[in-house]
Amino acid sequence: MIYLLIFLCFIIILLLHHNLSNKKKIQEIVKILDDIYSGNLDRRLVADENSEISSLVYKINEIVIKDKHKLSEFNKAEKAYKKLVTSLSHDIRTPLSTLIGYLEVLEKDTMSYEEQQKFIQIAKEKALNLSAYIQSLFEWLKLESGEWTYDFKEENICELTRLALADWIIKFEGNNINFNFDIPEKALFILIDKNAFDRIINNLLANMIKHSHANKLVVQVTEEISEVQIAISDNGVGIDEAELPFIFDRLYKCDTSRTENSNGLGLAIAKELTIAHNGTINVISGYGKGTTFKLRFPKNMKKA
Amino acid sequence: MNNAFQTEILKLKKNKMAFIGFVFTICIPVLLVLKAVFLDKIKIDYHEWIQTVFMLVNLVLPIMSGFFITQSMQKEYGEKTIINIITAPVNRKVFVFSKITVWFFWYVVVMIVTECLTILGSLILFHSQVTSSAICFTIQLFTQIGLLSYIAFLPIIWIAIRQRTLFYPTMLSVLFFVLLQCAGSQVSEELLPVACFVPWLAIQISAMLPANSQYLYICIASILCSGLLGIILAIFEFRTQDL
Amino acid sequence: MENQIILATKQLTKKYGDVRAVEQINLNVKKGRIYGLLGRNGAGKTTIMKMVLGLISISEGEIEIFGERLKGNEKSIYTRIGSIIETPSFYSYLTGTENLEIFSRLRGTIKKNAVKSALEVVGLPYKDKKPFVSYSLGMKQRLGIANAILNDPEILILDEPTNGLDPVGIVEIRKFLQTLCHEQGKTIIISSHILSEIALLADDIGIIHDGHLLKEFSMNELEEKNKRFIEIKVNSVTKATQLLENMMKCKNYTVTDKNCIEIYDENLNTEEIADCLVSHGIGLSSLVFKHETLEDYFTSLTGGAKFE
Repeated sequence: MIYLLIFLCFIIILLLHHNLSNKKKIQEIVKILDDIYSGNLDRRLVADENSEISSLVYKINEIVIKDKHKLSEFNKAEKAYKKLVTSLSHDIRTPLSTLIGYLEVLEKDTMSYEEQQKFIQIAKEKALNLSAYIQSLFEWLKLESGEWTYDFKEENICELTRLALADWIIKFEGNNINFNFDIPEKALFILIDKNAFDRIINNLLANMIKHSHANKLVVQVTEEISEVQIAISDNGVGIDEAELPFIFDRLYKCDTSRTENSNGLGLAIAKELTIAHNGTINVISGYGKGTTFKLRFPKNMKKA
Repeated sequence: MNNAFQTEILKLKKNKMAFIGFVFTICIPVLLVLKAVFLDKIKIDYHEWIQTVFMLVNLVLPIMSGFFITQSMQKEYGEKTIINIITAPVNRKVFVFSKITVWFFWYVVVMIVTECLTILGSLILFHSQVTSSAICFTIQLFTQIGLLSYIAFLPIIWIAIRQRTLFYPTMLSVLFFVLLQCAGSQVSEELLPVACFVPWLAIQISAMLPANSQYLYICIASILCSGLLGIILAIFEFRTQDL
Repeated sequence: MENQIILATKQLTKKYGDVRAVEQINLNVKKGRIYGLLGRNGAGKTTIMKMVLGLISISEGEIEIFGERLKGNEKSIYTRIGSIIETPSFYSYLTGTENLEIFSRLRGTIKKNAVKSALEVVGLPYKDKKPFVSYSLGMKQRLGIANAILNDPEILILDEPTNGLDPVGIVEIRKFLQTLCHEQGKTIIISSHILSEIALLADDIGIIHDGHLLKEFSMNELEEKNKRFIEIKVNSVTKATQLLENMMKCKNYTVTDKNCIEIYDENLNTEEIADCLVSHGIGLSSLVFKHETLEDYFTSLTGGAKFE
């Protein structure tokens, strides 16, 4: 009888001990959670794999780790944004101050008529470049903030391409670029925003003229099973393979010197617009191997 | 503590010494049964057989037990895993207790298995002579001596901690204690009162004394003191040890 | 607040009898940076680390970690620290996985399958049959690191983690530690006697010599402080120094060897110097821009022969 009593006492003591130790564990957890709440996202809760609270503890750790990730991503984005703002302000200030410089010189009126005309030309060019840059900037900002309104209509993409290219023919001839357009006569209708498409083609071609130093350009429109592909290839200096993943990033410039006419936004805008059409844009290139941009638009696009 | 104990059990699985000690000890009843069946020409007396088993087990088990704990502690120091354990962190007191507990666990397992095999063997060899009271007596004797021996040997863990990677001093102490334990059965009447105070002599003496003898209490007290002292010294030694 | 002090020792001292192994150490480790404890073998680096981790008793002084006193808060503090002291020590006849399961059970875990994830991170197989005794040194180090990062600790204390590794292994560990620190924000304290490794890895440095902390500084400070100088080797030091003072008005130089002068005046034009010396008939065999490295600084602080 007495052994039974002793045994029962033993069991009761064990249960009480278990209860107390659980209470203590919970107190510790609360203390650690306080530390996490006050900002220390590196703190982890620790538990025995077999205890009852282990899955609770693991879940809390998962949440904290996720929060930490989000926070560090946010910090990174914030840093990148600050960098962007700084470089943008530089990109605007520099040409502006150059422009003002030229105008001040003109104001002095100590030059010959020819010189004046020359300076006026230069000043006008700078002003136009600045205007184009600000235009791109606003476009990009509109895209980023989601305020760009698309007007998707069924259009013949072949015709659109021809039209877009037509504007550039003069520029090609002026730069001694041999061009070859391979666009099917057949009409290929897809849902497309005319303005956006124009922009994409223009940005790609402008990019090519500025950077590739090519003398040959091929534009090819082909129909695939479920999409239409537009390939713009040049035989220029090409882009280094290591840089390919980054060229569509805003403000990325391959030659790291700040050349005045490029603004790094052109390709980023082209990519955003293509994605809005549920399309894809890829680049195939290598140093000295020329460059090919491939645009793909799905034939049956649901309104994005 | 629970976790520390469980990890010690995990370590037991691949512990060769634990296995060897276990096997050596349980072999004794097995071998003696085989010997009685195959080798002995004359039928042995049941009590004599039990006595032989008893004597041999009480020689081998403490030695194996000493080997076990010595190797267990020495390995931690030698492989420096003790550093990983203490930085886990594991309380130093808890570490010592976990070693003591797993030692006890191994000891009890070996003891019980040996007892079972002895009883089985005795049933096989002498089934007519084996009464339930005889079995009870066997169990009681084995268990009493076994437990008292374990407790009296606890100071070994203190020596093992002190000696860190050296195992000779610890082993020699084990052998010394075993020697005393065996000598305890040879103690004469006159020396009995004095011998009771020596824990390791007292182990065997306690088996020989009648149940109401006052010397019994002295024996048990001295053994318990030895055990307690062993634990306390071990904890103290380890607490301030530089690893 | 960025870079608060996460671990500080105050007058930390260890005496063995009358011998003072380590004396009055005042370490200040900043959060989220790599702290390199630099010193020769036997200078006391491991002793300091062992004291911080509670492996060796402290003779004098205090330790503060995570803003709290260590004494009395050991359990909660040590749970947040992972470490490797001396060579990674595990049970020889158990496999890597079994070893980690033992230690993860002792520490507690922060997620399901913590052992599997830790082994994945260091690139060791999970639940394989190879016992620890047959691991190569590189694998042993990796297992040690897996054990140290099991609980995603906030501080890592590593005692010579690249010891005995081949050059590839050293680079791997270096990259790994940099990721842990810069991407995950862990604080790492590493000790080494290899200057070049510490110079590549550490953000802050503490120089230990003969049991004393000689100096604590950040690598940035060192680079700024770095004396840049022009080193010229000439055939006549006396004539050269005369010319420097009279023709080039330069007083800021030292003669370091019988043919060697270090000029600290950065504004001097090297062409002018060369021209001046040569046109006055002094043989100029070498003219180099140099700056003092960590090794030079270390040697000047500890005095004595450079070590490997």
